[in-house]
Amino acid sequence: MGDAFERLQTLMGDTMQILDHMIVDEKHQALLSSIKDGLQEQYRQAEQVSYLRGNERLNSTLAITQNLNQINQNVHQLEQNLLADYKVSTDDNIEAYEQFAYENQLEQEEAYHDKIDYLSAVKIRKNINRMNGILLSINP
Amino acid sequence: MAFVITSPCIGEKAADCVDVCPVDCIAEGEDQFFIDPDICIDCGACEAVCPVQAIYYEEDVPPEELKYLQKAIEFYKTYEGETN
Repeated sequence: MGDAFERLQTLMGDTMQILDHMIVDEKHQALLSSIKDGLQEQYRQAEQVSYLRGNERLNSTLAITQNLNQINQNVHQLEQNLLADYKVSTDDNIEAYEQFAYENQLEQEEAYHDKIDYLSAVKIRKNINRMNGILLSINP
Repeated sequence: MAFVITSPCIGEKAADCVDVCPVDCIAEGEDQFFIDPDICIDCGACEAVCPVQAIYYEEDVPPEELKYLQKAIEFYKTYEGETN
């Protein structure tokens, strides 16, 4: 059980590292900040829950699951927004852009930046789903 | 899914991958570099710049190199501190 909480916190910390590397346009900043703040709070909650037992633990892990689901709705929204940006910066042809060699992708600075932010959001959403899987293993 | 660094990195450790990773998910081990699969966003920049073609997408790792996937997982079980 201790391993599960340790794994959960490691995954939360790793996901925060991805968030810390994202530099989004001003129009997405509020959403990104709310995701960061939310995940940081769940990290703190997870640390406290590891010391609880019985119903207290059950209720607290359920609360974290609900909060993570809420955060993931925001991540999904951010992901959609960043995908829209990425489409614009590649003239609605992401597939063709990604066929370019790495050096050529880099030359199109805005498109490359949008690609990295979009892929970051995708990874964050997947990691939160994995966090919920870990919580489910704690409270099946 | 993530990218994986395999045997050609051993003894080479060129570190070009570290410089281009946009999320700083590559750490130096004793004999090779390792990609943190929890942080890797699958952008492929590391694969493109590796001078010894040591990096593969997880699904494309040659069978004889698959042990390096497990090696990376084991490395990050004990690795402390931010990956960079």
